[in-house]
Amino acid sequence: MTPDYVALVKRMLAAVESNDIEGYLGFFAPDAEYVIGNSGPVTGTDAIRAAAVNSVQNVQSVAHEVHNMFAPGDGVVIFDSDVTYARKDGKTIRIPSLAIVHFRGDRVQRYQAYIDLSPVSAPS
Amino acid sequence: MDKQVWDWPHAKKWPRFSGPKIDIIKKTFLAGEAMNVENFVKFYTDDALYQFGNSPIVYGPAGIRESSGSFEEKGSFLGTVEGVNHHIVNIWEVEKDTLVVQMEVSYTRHDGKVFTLPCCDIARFRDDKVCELRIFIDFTPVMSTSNA
Repeated sequence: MTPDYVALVKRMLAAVESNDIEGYLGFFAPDAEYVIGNSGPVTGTDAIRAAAVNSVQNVQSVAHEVHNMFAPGDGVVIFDSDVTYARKDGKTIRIPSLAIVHFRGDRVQRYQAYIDLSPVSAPS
Repeated sequence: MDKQVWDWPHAKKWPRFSGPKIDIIKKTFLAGEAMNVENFVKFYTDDALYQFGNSPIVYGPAGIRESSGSFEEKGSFLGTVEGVNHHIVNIWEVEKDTLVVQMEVSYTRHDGKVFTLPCCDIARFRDDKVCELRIFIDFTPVMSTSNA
């Protein structure tokens, strides 16, 4: 049976929003590729953990307002959202983001996010 | 001299991808690559939503024209960028009249520096015009890398 890819992506976003990094990593294949903005790609669970943690090191919490979630076939899910980052210094940053997620079986084989995170890491 | 007759705009570039809406977005990109904003804006509806990276959303040909600046205006898009090339990786027709275009876009600055950046667009069409183009990209290297 084909996995419900959209449901899997929604669970991944829920893991991010509850700061459950290990739960989030559990959706990825051990040799998955991960690209955020202009950095990467990185490969494998440890490298993805490092990249994911690094991208939110100033951040207290993350929330996604998803606008579209497309499943055009071949295990691909594409979604765009406005992402709100609550920074540890109290600042709130809202930026647009789009991600292309490739599944193999029920695990993510490749995750690429198109996003400009520079306001999130900018000095207070 | 005889008047030059150009086959323009055309959809011959990116032969891997074609279709009624795909050909329109190909022409739009090609008009963008020609760096003449007056031709580029003709592809958009008067109320088109246009979003580039983290920049504020603008609307319609007038908004796109204004947000592009000019070759003479330092710090504007056109004042910074001399040339653009879209390498299309994939196009998905995700809904009727809606495309997702995955790319690597190369920007050549006026100082000759070239930046190749991952970029993905969501394009929506009304009839034969673009009524929404949302460009997801981290454009900061082009604007902030020094020319030293």
